[in-house]
Amino acid sequence: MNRGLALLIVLVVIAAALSLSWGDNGLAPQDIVAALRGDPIAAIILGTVRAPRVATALLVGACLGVAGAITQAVMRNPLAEPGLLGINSGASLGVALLVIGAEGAVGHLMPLAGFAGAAVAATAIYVLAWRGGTSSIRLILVGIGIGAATGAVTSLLTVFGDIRDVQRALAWMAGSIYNADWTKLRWLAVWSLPALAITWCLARDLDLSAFDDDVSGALGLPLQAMRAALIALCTLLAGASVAAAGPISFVGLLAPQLVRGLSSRHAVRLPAAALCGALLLGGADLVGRLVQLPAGLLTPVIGVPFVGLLLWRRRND
Amino acid sequence: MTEPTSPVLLQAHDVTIGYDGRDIMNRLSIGIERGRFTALLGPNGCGKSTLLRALAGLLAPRSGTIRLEGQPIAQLSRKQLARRLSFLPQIPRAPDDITVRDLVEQGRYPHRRPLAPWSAADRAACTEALELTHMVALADQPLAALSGGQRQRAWLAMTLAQSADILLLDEPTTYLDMAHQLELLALLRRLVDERGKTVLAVLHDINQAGQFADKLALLSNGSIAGLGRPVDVVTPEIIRTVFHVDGMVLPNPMAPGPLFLPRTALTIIDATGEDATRS
Repeated sequence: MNRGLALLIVLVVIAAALSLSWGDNGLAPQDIVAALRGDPIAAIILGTVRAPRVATALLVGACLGVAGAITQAVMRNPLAEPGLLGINSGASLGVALLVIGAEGAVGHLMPLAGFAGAAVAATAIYVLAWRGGTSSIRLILVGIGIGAATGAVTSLLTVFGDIRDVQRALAWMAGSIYNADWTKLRWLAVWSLPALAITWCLARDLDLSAFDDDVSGALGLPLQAMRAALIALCTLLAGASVAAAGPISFVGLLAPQLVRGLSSRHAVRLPAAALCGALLLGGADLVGRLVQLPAGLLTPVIGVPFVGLLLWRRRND
Repeated sequence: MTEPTSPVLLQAHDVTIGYDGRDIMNRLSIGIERGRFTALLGPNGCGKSTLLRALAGLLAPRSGTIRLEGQPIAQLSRKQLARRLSFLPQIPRAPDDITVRDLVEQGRYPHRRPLAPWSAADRAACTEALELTHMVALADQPLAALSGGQRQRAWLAMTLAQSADILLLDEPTTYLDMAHQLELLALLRRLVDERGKTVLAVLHDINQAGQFADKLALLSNGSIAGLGRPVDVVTPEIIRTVFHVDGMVLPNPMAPGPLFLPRTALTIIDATGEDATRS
C-alpha cells in the first residue's frame, strides 16, 4: 500500500483518540476501555457526546476532501473547491430563508434547508453553464457569479430579518459540529457513504476528466454524462456535509491539494483526500474545543495562509 | 506501398461541418484507405483540424455521415470507437504533475472494464508503446519536465497504447526540430508497414509528406482539392490552387516521390478587396 496513505490512517487514528479523550472532562485511555466494558459515566461522555461528534467531524471532513478532489478534476483547476459549485453559499441562503422567513421553531429543519439550498445552487450553476454541453471554465465563471448573487441575497436577508433569527442563522453559517448526535450522523452516513463508494469506482474516469475534452473524448470518456454524474456526486457529498456541519470552508480545497503529490491516480488520491479532510476537520474541531471556537472558524486559519503559499509558488506560471 | 489502392476504412460522406452556425466545410466526402499513411495538407484555416475532429467522432457533422468500415460512427459508443480509432490533438493538455508512464497508461482506458485490475495485455501495450517511441528511459519523468520533442513522443506513446487500428494525428511534427520530425515520420511509416496501422496525419511540409506518405489529401477552403499518390497530386497547378504558391516540381533524387521547390507566394485579392498575401 502507498506509504502516504498508511501515514494518513495513523494520523487520523491518533486525532480520533485525542479527540475522544480531550475535553472539559478528560478521559484517559483506560476510561475509554472502561466505557467499552460498560462503565456508565465514561460511556455517557463517550457514547452520547464525544463519539458522535468525532465521527461526524471525520466523516464530514472525508466528504469535503473527496468533493474537493472531484471539483479539482472536473474544473481542471487545482485551486477549485466545492464552494465554486455554490454549495456553501446556496446552503447559507437556504438556512437564512428558513430561519428568517419561517415562524416558530425550525432548528430541526436547518440541515434539510441547507442541503436543499446547496442542491438548488449547484443545479442552477450546471444548467446556466450548459451551452450544448458544459466546459470547465464556464462552470467556474458561472459558479463565481451564482456564489456572489446568493451571498448578496443572504446579506440582504440578514439586514432585514429579526435580530434573534439572524443570530441563529449566522451561528449556523459559522460551521460547527458541536451539536452532533447519532441521528444526524446516521443521516449523513446514509447519504455520503454510497456517494463515497461510487466516486471511488469512478476513479479512472476522474483521472481522464482532468485532461482536455478532445483527449478524454478520443480515449472514450463519455464526457458530458460523466461530468454531470461527477457534479451530482460532489453536490451530494458537499451538500450532506453542509447539512450536518454548516458551511466549512477550505477543507475541500486543502485536503486534495495536500495529497496531490502522493499519486496522479484518483484510486489513491480519493482515499488520501478523504483521510486528509478527516484529519483537518477532526483537528480543527479538537483545537476548536480547546479555544472555544467552532471548527468552521478555524479551518480558514490554516486555509488562508496555505492558499497564499500556493499562489506564491505558482507566481511564475 | 504495394497495391496503389486499398479498401476504404474510414469515410466521410457528404458531410457539412461547422461551429456556431458557420459552416467550415460543405458536403465534403473523403475515404481513408486501410493500411495506408495518408497525409492531410492545406493552408491555415482550411479546416484540416475540423475534418480530423469530425472523423474522430468529437464533432458531429451538421449533415452527412462518417463511417468506419461501413458503419456510421454515431452508432458506436465512445468506448467502442476509441478501441478502433485513436486521435491526438495538436496541443493536447494533461494535468501538470502527471508522469510519462501515467500518461501512457491512460491510453488503456477504452479497453478496461470498470474496476477490472491492470491486465497483462494492458502492461504489454504500454511497454510496447514506450519502446516504439523510445520513451522507456523517461517513463518516470513528469511530463512537464520534458522537451517539446520528448513530450510529443510521450503523447504518441499514449495514443499507441490505445492499440487502435486507426491513428488520426493533428500536426504531430509541428513543434519538433528537423531530426525529430524525420524520426516521428519514420515511426509512423513503420507502424503502417509493420503493424498494418492506418494513419491520417495533418502535415505542413509537402516534401516530407511526399517522401513518407502513401497518399496525400489536399484541403482548400473546406473541400478536397486533390487526393491521391504524391506524384499525382503534387503538381505546380494544384499547389498553386491550394497554397497560392508558385514553384516547380522535380523528381526527388533520394527517394521515390516528388519534390516541390517554391519560388514565390502569389498575391491574391480576397472578397473583402484586401491584400491577402499568403506565404
